[in-house]
Amino acid sequence: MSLTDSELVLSYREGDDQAFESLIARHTDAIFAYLARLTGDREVAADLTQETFVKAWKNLARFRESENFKTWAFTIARNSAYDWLRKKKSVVFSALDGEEFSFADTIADTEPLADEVRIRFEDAHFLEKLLTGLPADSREILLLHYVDEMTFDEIGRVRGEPLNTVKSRHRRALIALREQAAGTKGSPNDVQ
Amino acid sequence: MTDFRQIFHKLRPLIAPMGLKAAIVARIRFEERRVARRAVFITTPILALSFAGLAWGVTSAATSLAHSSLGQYLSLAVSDPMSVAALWQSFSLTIIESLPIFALTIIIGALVALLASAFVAAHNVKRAFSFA
Repeated sequence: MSLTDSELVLSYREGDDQAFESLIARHTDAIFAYLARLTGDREVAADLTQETFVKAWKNLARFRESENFKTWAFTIARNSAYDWLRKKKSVVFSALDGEEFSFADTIADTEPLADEVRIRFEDAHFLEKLLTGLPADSREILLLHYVDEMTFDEIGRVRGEPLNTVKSRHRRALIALREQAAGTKGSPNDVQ
Repeated sequence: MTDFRQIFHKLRPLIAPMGLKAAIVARIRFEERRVARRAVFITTPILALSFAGLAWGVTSAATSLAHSSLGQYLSLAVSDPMSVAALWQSFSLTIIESLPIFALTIIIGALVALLASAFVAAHNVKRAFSFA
């Protein structure tokens, strides 16, 4: 039976050097993919993934067993990525910052996609280009929820935001994604 | 209802480059060795100082005890325990006064520092000088 992340952390603290290697093996791909999509640069993502694990190792004493290691590591990865994006000064933050959120923002997305848009979404390359065009935080929420399969509560912990804010951002990110998809004509390669 | 989860699963998987995991492990091992070496270099002088402190404390305590009347008080306690029991408060104070308090404090402090630094050094020395 494989150990949980918290058990591996505990095991490493007790002197098992291999335990942290298991954590690295378990989470490197997910963190790399998240950082690669967030930064849009594989080389930077590889560097940031390495930095994430070194920071996690340095701060392992602060990790509590009740916490979720994946969420904790993603928080470190996110902070590293945003530091890099800020240095690069290319980060586009959502216009939502500081806005009031209405209850309507928190309800689930139930609107079906138009057939034309649905067909376009079938093309992974098209979807990737659409994601690249979204503000960094919208892109991040969609990736964490749909690719890394985090709950809104976990995303809230990674981003340091309340649950309703995350739900609201998620809803607006989907709207932005739909709008971009609907407004895009021609071949997927034309999408900016 | 649109199944965005299904849509997003169509994204091509981004696999970490070959060697990234090994590079991360190597970097962690390097950091572990760096921290271990720092611990060893910090504890080595503490170890030496505490050993010197312990030696000085023991010598000083032995000298003080040789010049004090502690031995006579102790032999009195053995030879006439009834009198000592009757005057136990005064006797205790006299015993305490005859003890080399400063030297004993140095001995205890040096011993604690010696054991703690020896423990930290022993815990880190293998990792600090491993090259695996």
